[in-house]
Amino acid sequence: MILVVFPGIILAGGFQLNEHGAKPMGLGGAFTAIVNDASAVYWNGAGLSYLEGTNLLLGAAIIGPSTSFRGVSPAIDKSSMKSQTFVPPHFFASHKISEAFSVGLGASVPFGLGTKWSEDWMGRYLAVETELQTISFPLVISWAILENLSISVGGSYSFADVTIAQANSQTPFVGDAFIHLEGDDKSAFGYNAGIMWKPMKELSIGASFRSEVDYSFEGTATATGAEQLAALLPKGNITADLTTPMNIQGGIGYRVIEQLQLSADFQWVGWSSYDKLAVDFEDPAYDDISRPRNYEDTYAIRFGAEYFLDDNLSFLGGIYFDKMPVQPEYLSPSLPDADRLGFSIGADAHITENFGVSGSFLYIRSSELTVTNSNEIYTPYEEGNEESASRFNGTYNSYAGLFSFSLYYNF
Amino acid sequence: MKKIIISLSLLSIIALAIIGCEDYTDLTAPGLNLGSANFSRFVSIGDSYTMGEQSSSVFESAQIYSFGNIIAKQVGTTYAQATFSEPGTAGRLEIVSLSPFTTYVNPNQGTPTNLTYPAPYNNLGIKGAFLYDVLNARSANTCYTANFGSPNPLFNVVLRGLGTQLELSIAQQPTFITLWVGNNDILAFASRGGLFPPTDPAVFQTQYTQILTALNSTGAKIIIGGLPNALVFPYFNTVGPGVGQAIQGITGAVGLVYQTTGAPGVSVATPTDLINKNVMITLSGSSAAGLLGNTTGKYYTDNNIPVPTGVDITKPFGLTPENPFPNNLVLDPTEIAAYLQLRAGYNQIISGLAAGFGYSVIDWDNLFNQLASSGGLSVNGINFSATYVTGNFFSLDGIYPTSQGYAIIANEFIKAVNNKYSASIPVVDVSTIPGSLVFK
Repeated sequence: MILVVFPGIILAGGFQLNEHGAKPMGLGGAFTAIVNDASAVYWNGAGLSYLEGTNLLLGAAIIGPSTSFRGVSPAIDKSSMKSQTFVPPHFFASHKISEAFSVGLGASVPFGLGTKWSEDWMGRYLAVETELQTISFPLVISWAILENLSISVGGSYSFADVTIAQANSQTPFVGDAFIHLEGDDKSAFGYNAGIMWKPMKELSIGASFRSEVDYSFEGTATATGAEQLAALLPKGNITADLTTPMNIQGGIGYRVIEQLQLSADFQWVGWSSYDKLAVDFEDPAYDDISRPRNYEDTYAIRFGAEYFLDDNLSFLGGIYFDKMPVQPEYLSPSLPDADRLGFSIGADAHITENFGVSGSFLYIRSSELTVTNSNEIYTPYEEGNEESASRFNGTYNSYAGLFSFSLYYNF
Repeated sequence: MKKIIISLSLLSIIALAIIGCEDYTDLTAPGLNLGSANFSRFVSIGDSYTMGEQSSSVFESAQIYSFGNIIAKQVGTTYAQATFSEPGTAGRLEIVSLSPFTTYVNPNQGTPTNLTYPAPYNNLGIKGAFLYDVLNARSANTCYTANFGSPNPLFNVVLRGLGTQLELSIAQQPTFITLWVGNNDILAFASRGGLFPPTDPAVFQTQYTQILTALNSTGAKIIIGGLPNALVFPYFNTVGPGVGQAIQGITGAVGLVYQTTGAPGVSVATPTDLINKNVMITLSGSSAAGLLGNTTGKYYTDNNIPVPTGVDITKPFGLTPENPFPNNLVLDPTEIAAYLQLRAGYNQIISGLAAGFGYSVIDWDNLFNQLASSGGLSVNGINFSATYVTGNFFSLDGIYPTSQGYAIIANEFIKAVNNKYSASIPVVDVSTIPGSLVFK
């Protein structure tokens, strides 16, 4: 019988979240050079040196992604991902402890994803439910070397959990088995660094670095299916490794006129850290999973503009292009990906002298992606028959709408 | 504050406007080229193969994958069938356990689910139909097997008193017909160990001529299914070799002593005969095979058959002339030869007639010989063979295909249509068809 466990599961992919504050989101993420609130803890720790006193910032993003798949080629039947809403929170705090030194800490969600397809859709042997959540707690110290030059270093503690559920064919026997993997890693560590230089009053330049984080997930596999096949279905303890990519982001900000600040960032993401998905079963009776993903390093280009209406109110606008890290042949419906364009707008308002609020909306449109040579085999197949097996070719369309808000308090 | 409210409402309006544009590039389905074929009224005439029997039963979740319905989906036409709710018509085989492999017969029955369909069914396949029935049967009581004391209620469900299979086909003014009939006219002979009389070739010729002449007058395009060599099916190949090996392990046993139809009444199959399939034991004989060497009449009591005169159940079953292995479970060399000769003759009749009318006939030998070969057949990543259960092609009755097997059959029909009528109907991806062996 055929029981290829997970012909194509995937833990995650281009699943970086860049939503760490309503203001940077409103500026299309072009924020490294111009960070001026506590979210510098994430974006560029060196920016903390330019904040006075104590700064608190708290908020969340509301993310509603949507994806449809048309296929499998040559068919054009449409399947849509189930609608889900994610609310990654963010919290940052900073304090200037002396003229030279500032510290900051925070909590946010640097990586995460969740996709859910119906249990009887055509790609159910590739993905039904996939969810990854990481929460990172960075701690940063910034040193103002000069009045207009600062650097920062920091570390971060993270934890993560992952859930993967998918169907497995029982052919030639009737029906599907369902397999559910769950795991977590309660402690993973990373580090970061930043630099910020303001050579002129109108001009600022910044760069930041965030390291890879190695997660080692431990968890369990459970399976439900025909009682007669129970012995064949994988279960028990599992382990899996995942390395989230390093980020290097550099930017420039320029105050064109008193009312208008423009910013631009280039972000490099070391996605080649994700070369394969591997899940090991403790019980040698079950074959370990190892699937090539071959992600490649990629980049995003970001532009932002902030227009100051007066001292208390400004409008934000941004646009960015985010290059997909995965080759179409390795794309899995557990994480639909494509080159993305983001358009954002927002506003930032000081309600009182100490208290303010910012809100922004980001619309992400993925370019339509047609996969013609997929490595993902979506039907049951037998070992050695990969060549003649059926590949998950078709057309993906994705978009997402994101709202974010942040409240901040400075004293 | 007012400014903030105004600006926030402005932003919301812009945001909503952006959300509104969920543009999708329109994809167009590839065009379908039917050539000179026209499937607007598509009718199938046949027996179990056409009805979609699996694991000795006809049930809706399997009927969805009758080869006719698969073809209808590929060409996008309507195709009504006489469906049965789970677990289908009487006697569905289901798997109790895989190791050891045991099956059981589901004692429950489903009911017809499409009786009120306001026209004759497109699928006029009836499990158990003989050539005679296509022309003559109008009900359970007028079908061919009724003459042998077995009225077949499926004729009532499929025909619903509206006419014969042939009449109901013609009444639909068909544009396309699959005709796959005549299987039971020899299969019944083989599956019952040579005890059921095969249809006389002269009668076969007459009946087939009548059917084809009548269908020809409709002007419909017709693809004809030939008669496959059932002896390569797992029904005939699964039990015998195991019995041969078992006998090799019994000291003093020369071979399987089995009852024969004519004189001398019993014969002996050596282990080699059984392993090489010179003598075949049917799948129906699998439980009897388990009694081999026992001093028992259990086979007869289990099947409510009176112990035949002259049989002494105090002697080892299947190893002694006094308690021989039952005739109806064995196909001996004479019967095998007779079967092969009959089949060749029938196929000759069919292809001769088809050639006269200009229809193309599917010769199944290619497919089934490949399935029976050591390498089997690989389709869309799945290996198929004539091996019982693990071969993926045959259902638990060892004669009728699984849903995936029917998809392979459907593809053979599609290829025949494409060839004959210059069409390019896409074949179905067999691996997208679900598994269909049912667990208890």
